[in-house]
Amino acid sequence: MDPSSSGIQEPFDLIRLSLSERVFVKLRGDREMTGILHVRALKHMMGHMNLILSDVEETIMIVNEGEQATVSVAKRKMGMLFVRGDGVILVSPPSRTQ
Amino acid sequence: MDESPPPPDNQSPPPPLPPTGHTGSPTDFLKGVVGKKVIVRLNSGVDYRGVLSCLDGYMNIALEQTEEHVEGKITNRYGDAFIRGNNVLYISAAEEL
Amino acid sequence: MSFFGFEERTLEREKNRRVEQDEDLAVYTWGEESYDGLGDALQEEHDELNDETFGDVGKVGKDFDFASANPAVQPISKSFFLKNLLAAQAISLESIWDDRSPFSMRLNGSGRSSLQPRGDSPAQHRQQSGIRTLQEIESEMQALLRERQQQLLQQKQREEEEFLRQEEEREFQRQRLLYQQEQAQIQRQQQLHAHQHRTPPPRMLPVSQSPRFMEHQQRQILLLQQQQEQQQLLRLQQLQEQLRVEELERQLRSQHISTIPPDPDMEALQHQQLQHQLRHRSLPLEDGLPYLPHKLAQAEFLRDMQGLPQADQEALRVEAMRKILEAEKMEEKRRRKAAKIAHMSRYNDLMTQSDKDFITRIQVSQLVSQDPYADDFYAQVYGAIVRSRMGLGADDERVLKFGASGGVALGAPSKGGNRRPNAMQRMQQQVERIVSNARKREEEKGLHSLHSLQGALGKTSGRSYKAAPRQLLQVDSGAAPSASPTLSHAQPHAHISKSDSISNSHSDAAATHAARLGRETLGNGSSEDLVRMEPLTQREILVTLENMYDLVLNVEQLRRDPASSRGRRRVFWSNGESNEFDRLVDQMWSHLKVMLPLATSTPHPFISLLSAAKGKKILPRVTRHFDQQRMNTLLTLLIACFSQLDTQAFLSSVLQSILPIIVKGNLRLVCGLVGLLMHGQDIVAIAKSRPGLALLTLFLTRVEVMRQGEVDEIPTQEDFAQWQLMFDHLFQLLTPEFPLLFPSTRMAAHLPRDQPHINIPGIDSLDQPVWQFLAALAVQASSTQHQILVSSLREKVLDNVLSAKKGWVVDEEERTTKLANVDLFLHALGLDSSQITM
Repeated sequence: MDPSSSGIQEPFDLIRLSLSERVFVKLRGDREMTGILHVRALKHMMGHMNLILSDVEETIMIVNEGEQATVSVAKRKMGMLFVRGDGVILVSPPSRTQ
Repeated sequence: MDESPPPPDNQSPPPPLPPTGHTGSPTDFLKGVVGKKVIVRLNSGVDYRGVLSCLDGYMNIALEQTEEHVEGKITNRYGDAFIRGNNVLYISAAEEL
Repeated sequence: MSFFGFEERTLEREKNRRVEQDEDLAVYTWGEESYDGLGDALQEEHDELNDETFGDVGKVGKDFDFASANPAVQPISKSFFLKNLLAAQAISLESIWDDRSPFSMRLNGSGRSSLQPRGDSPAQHRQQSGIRTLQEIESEMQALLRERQQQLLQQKQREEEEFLRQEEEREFQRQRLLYQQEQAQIQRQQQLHAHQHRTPPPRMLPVSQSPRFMEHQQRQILLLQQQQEQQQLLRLQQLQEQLRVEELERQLRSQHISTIPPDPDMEALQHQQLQHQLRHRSLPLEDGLPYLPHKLAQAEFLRDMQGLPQADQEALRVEAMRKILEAEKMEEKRRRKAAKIAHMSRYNDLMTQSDKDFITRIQVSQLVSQDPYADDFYAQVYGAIVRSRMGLGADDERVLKFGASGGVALGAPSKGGNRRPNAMQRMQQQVERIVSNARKREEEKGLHSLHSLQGALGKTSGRSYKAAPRQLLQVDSGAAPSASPTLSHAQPHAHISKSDSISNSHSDAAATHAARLGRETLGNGSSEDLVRMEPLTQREILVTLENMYDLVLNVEQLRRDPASSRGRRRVFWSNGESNEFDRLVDQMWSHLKVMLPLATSTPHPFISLLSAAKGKKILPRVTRHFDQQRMNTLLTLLIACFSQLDTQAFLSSVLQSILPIIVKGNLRLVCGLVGLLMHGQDIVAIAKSRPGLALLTLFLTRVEVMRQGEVDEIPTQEDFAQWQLMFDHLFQLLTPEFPLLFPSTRMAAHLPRDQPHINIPGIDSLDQPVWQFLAALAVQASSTQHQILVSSLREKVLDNVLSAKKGWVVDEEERTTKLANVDLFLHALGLDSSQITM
């Protein structure tokens, strides 16, 4: 069997396996964040990809329009965050060294 | 979904024609493309290249060995990536089926 | 003859007449409806022989003398009489007005006066004078009227006094009654309160915040106010009494001085006014006190007052009236209050305690339930029917059964005196059941639809609803329809995945593996049968752990289930529950992969699971549910793979899980575990690690405890002999490494050679576990081994003692720590640091 693919049968499994782990989330509006995923008690929320993250660090890219378009980065930290699913573009589990 | 996708960059191959020998239904295509290298284009114009692990009826996609391409440049790499279906514009095969 | 100006009138004729022309006056027809008509049958003729029959009694006529004192009156109907009242004026009608007469009727309350004998009664007059003229009659009537008026006036005055007294008396009675009622009521309320305090009703609020408590307080305050008022009134009375005495004295004095009597008319008028005022205004000052005498005294006082000079009188009266008015006001206030309380307490005790309990139960159940239909009886019944149709069984308790467990036990008398506690217990059980039912329903909903909570976070607008995920494709997963083992909790999505085709064959293979591995574990497996596997991948670990979490949550839920709350232990569970529990625990056990043989992979799959943070976290939650045998197996595997474990895993979770097993394990187990640590593993490396040292210390102390016989299962001599071999082997293996077990020694090796005594902060606390281990070792060591220990560690011991005694320490704390550490070890050898001389 192919070990790398075991356990992933549908896309949501990827999220499920990342529970209690730090994930990377890419959101609309040039926002990214990392945080520890907590959805165990609210599995039905996964249908919407509503996420509950703790220990969150958010990175916001602000594009300054002008002669030379520059991008400034704002960061902020939050203890606990509810992310509404419709803003989610991509979720990635922690990268592993295999 | 409001933002119109930018014109496809030159590096990404055009969506492949339905491979011969298949019945040509979307499901057949998707079944064939699982486990293969694919390009997933989002509405925003961002491309994700990787091995398609699986997908569901909402077009939610799980990719492996994912590269994020913005305007022809690799901007990020992910071991695994979950892409929420509503952002997906299309999925195309990046290798021979 | 006729009195009334009628000739020969018979009853019959009169009756006819009455019927003919009635209705403009009050017509009294006594007994007419039930009139038997006997009167009509009276024979009024043939009276000619009466005289012969009865003898001559003189003229009889029709005015029979019924009441001997009165002249003849015909028993005629009143209407008749009234009609002819004026005409009949002449005769004495007193008997008719008399109280004793059946026709008695009160006119201006003069009934009594009519009893008085009248010397010149018009009736007598009339009888004497015979027929008179109209003028005569008229004048007579007027005279009579005047006389009457005179009489009435006098009588009225008399009566007024009488009435006043009666009124006062009645008022007093009434007040006393009212007071008694009030007292009784207050008493009842107090009793009720006491009762309520003995058995407080179920409530969510603490007593001090409950409405009932507030009410009680209010009543207490009210009672207090009443008492105060009464005291005030008492004082006022005393004051009045004093005033009266003073006034009497003054009156006496003034009588000597003033010879001029006051104007009689004026006096009369004043008297009347006062009387009037008294009558209409005076109210009892004090219910509990002899009111009437007091009142009379007051009246007397007022009458006496009339002998005083005008000004004094006036002043006095004003003063008295003011006081009286004041008292009246107070009294009025108090009475209003009392009336209010009485009004409020009208509905007291309408509900019994069990009624209240019942209401509380319903309210609590509605509060607790998240089901919007919880209080909708029809929805409940409908739900029950639907569920039963779906085959969920009649024993499904999700329907609120009010009647079932004493919800409405109105008709059922409960036996014994512990009725109240029972009700409370029942309520608690009911609430628990309601909560669990609500949870079950939630779970069920979650199972049926992933989107059951859609909109639960707020109103979903049209737009945001559109933003919710939409099924875009009809994907047919084909190969493995809903066989996803990773999503046991919910209906899996239709999906397409490359692992679908593999998973089935894999699970088959896994079963084969398990069978083989099981055989191997039992000891009869040959090396050819061993299935060597790659270590678990990160993803496999995560998948396994996620499944484990699902199982643990289910098991925990099962234990939490109020249905099994009768006992938290499995013995009390019903068969079904127990089976379900066992099934889940079995699954957990197999997921942990403890039964896979040691050589399956390196690290062992079980150890791999513990490498993930999630795995470490879940282990104590899983092992809690395993029985002794499984725990022993798990412990054995853990010890056998000890060197594969990362330090963090052991200290954070593993030790916590295995500690209860080790502290209960028998000597053979400990012996075996220590053997496992030394077999095929680097015992020196283990001993140099903090968890390894902790584990070894744990084993040594456990054996010492058993040696001292403080255990249920006393080990045999054979066991001890076995252990001795094991111990000697361990001692031998560690001997050359004793000094190096200390972190301080190992660190010192990296320090520059010329600074061996450099102080590393906190190094002594790092050394402490090593000293503890060595002490545990020393306790069991033979004398030869003692010598080895002493010679190996002499330098280390002296080093510490020297540092402490020469003051090569940062502070006092470090010194004491150093000495304590050394003494820990030395005491085990029967020595002490104080014996060491430099």
